[in-house]
Amino acid sequence: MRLLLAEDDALLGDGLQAGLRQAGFQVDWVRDGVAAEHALAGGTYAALVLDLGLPRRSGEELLSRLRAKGARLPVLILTARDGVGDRVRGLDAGADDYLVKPADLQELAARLRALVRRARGEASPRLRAGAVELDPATREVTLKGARVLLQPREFALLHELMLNAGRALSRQQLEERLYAWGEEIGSNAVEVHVHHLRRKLGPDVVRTVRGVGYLVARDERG
Amino acid sequence: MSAADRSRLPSLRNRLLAVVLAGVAVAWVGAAAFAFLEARHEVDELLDGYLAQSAALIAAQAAAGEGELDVEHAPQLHRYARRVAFQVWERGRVLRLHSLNAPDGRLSPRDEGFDDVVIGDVRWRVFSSYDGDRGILVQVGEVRQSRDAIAFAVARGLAAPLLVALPVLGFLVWVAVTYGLAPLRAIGQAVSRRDPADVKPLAVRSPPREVEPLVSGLNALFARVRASLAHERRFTADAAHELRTPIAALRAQAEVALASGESAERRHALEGVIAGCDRAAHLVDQLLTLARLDPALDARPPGRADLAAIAREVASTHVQAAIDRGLELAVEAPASAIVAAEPALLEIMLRNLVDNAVKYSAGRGREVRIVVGDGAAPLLRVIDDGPGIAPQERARLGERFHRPEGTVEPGSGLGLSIVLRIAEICGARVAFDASAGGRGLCVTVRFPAVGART
Repeated sequence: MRLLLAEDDALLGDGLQAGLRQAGFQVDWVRDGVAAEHALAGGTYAALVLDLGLPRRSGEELLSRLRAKGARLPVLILTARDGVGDRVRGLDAGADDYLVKPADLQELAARLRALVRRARGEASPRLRAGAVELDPATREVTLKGARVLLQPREFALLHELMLNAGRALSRQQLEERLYAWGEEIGSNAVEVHVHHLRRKLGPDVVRTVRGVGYLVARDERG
Repeated sequence: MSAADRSRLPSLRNRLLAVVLAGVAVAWVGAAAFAFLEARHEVDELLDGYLAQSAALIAAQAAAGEGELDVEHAPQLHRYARRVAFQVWERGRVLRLHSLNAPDGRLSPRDEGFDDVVIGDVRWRVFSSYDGDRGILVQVGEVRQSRDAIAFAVARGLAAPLLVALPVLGFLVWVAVTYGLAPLRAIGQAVSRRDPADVKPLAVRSPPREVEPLVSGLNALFARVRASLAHERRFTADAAHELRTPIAALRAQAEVALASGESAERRHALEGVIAGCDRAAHLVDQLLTLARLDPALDARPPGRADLAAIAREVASTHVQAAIDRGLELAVEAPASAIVAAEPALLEIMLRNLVDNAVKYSAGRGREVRIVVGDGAAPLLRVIDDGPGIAPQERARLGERFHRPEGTVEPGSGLGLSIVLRIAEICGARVAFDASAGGRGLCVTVRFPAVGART
């Protein structure tokens, strides 16, 4: 899952980016409000982590502009302002969650996963597709109850497809969601990861939709 | 303070009471003494007249034969009726006629006029009249004591009411003083009942003129305390708020290091932890500096500082930092430039200015100049040729924790707040402009001329 992190503090941004990456997210980091807006206009993000005290355009302003445009992107405010009034204002301005610095990275990652899940209308944190189960929190994948070891990128690809179960995603869409800025993408990286997934989970989990992309079928039981 | 302690303190009421009663008593006794003297004088005049008249009457009747007259046992018609004694001498030697109470010898050695004599234990007032034609000397004497008794009676009449009046007056003064001091007592109670956190002005409706300075003084003090408390609260809130970000960064970096399996990533995160510690420490230093500057330091009399010496001192300690960032650091200063300010404060101020200039022009400028101007209006300039600051941003410079947009260098956002605060203490003005070439930032601190401050 690809996140946009808007944080002007160099050291904190760097730490959050590294920490969220460790938690399995792809993180693009911008340091002011205008850059955040440009990034949101041009990329596909699963969620936005927003600091309120951003230079050039404040977090509040960015958020209200975003909501005014009808964007449904989950937004988590991460700020040093801890007053109840601040929280209320932030949530009322359109934020989905509010965390006060210093936040626990694990908690931040869990809240982001929950935000993404809710945004997709899922109730259960675990995703299921046929015999395959994926737990976003523990980053475990099981096939018929047996644990399957996946490389981080393979996990991320399966996660994206399962989050969008029933909907085909193009190679380009997948690349966008799997890779942050500046990460090198091999020309057939997605194909390679799909190939590995099929080898580990069986050929039927990820289907190819010719001329469109890839699909994980929606699990009717779940 | 306990009630017992308080009762040992001098009491305004007792003092007023003592002064008023003592004053009244002294004035009254003085008046009585004056009345006594005046009465005695008047009585003397009056009775001397009667004495002379008596002498004339006796002389007129002295032709009768010699003998004694018992005036002593004559009926006393009035309590002030005088007891007089008289003698009628013929040719000054033979006692022809005398009252029974008269002494044997002459009442007075004088032949004419008034005389005061003491015969035995008794003081006499004597009038002598000599009739040269008939050779008769008449002397009429009156016991002095009876005169004094009259004067004393007059004075006593005046003084006696004092004994009754003083206690009554004391009570009245006590009541009046108690009533008069009621506003003071009310204020005292209002202040002592106060919650320590309550710094609202005292609500005293129309205080008396004498108490008004106390009330307004107290209210001015409360206002200052209120402002300082508000400032303290805001400062603490700001400080806590600002410490959150470095602490959050520390925590994030530490968590990354802890979870990382890659040594390069772990190393990067641990370096981040150290950088975060440095930054938090710097922030705490700056906060403490600002906190120490903030209480009412202004009241302290300024010392004398040599701007030029301070500029050279700060330059010598900052030159290495400048060189490390590829900058030259230069000082343009006269031999000395005296300003009325605390040298330590000026050093903190200049250090912050030079820190900023070096930090923000690193890699984008060539040199930082410290310029000192002496003369009537001493000034201090720190000029860099870095990227400068947009005019619309300059207005917000110095706001606490404000860091201009695009700021990437770590900093507390407090440096210029400290500079402005020190300038305020020194009575100096600070201006932010573009440097001469249109690039970079030029910070000018203008000090009041030495001796101009009152």
